Amino acid sequence: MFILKAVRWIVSYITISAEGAFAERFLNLAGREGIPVWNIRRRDAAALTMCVRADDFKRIKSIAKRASVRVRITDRSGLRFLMFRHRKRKAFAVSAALFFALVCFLSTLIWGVELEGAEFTDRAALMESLEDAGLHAGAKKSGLDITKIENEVLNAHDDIAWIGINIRGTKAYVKAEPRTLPPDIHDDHAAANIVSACDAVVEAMTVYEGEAAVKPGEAVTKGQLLVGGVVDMEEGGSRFLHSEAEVWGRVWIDVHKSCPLYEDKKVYTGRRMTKRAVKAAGVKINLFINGSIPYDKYDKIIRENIIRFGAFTLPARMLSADIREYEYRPERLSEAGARKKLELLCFLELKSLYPDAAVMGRDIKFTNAGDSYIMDAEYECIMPIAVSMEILQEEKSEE
Amino acid sequence: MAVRREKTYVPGALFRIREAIGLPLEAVTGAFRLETVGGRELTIENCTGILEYTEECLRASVKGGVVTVRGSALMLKALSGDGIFVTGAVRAVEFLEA
Repeated sequence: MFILKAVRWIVSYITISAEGAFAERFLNLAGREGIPVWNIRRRDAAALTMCVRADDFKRIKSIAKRASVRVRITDRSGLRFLMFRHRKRKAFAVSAALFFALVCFLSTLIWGVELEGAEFTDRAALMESLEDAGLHAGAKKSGLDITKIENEVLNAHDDIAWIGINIRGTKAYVKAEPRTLPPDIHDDHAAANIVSACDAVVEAMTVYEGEAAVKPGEAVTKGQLLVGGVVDMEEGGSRFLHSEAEVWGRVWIDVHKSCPLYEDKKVYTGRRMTKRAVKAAGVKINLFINGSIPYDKYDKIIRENIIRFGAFTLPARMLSADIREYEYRPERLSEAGARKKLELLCFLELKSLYPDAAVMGRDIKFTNAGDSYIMDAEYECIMPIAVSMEILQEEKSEE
Repeated sequence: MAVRREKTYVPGALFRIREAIGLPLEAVTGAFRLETVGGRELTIENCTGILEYTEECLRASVKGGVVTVRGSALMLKALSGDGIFVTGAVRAVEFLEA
């Protein structure tokens, strides 16, 4: 009913009064002519009031003549009459047209992206992927290739099995389902030995399957057999097993690092400036006049904030770029500072090479070579040294 | 002396064909169809004209007679070539065969 009323208001209609002895005949003629008439009321014994479309008034007048009825317009309603009443108020008309155009334009944009059921994945990374693919607040709805965006996001995230993007109104709803990765298939039946991954002294070992070839306290070299997968049978012949064991060894690892005596250090000068801009529908509007940056070396930190109006998110973002000037100043590294720095670098190197190594002790040699500091560190670690090695078919036949 | 006989209703050929193929009567013969919702709304389809309209009484001609609607605050909410839509408090509906 509301839509019908709205359509009638846009089309514009008039309320007329039909006076005469044959008002019913007038109605019948209007009906036969196909003129829509509504809200017919008896005003008094000789008059009816009714609504008709403004365009039909000419036809109504000819019908009124045939029915001997006097027709008078009592009211005018609708867009056409509103515009006519305000025809001299040009600013009002321009503002109304601009407002209408703005509403039409804003309805073609995405105002916000909402994630549904994507708790299993990194939501920030997912939002970033969506933005890279072109789906973000302020993007034009007509320019979005949903299938392409979905494929791009799926390619970027291995943990997502399915992604669905639905655009409802001015909002994009993204639904993602997790991928169930197949378990690592471990062939427990293939015959295998366990050998040492590096030179070490065996600290402890737990054998689940196979025959231990060494004992704790024994020194082993890289590739040496620790647990054998070939077991001799009493009745003759051999049995092949998939050896399983945990072997921990004491290992000595050498790490070398150096750093120069003088180092260029990045220092902020304290001079800084902020430049702001508004971004909407892929268009960036700068809120500053002079765009040049008077610094030679500077860091630019850009922050992007969604513009909100209460709880309402607008399809625009405020960009603020914080520009900070810096310079490099040569600085002599103190011995204590160099030692601390090199110790950290050596330890990080060790951890990157052997993440499971537990450091039990260390022997550090720190030397000043004139133009640089050198550190030679030897770490005593306890770490897993067992590596599974399949027994090949040829080896089996030799056995 | 002439003997007066009672007129009996005999279905015509059109009625029998319509019944055989299951079409609605009003669609084939142009018979009127009257529908009311809770005595507050009333629709008459295949109405051929309005004979009288006041807030208390509406008389509409239909094929084969006249339909009279009595009530209060009756208003012709919409009028088209072949139907009317009435709102108000409907108290009585009457059909007089011509």
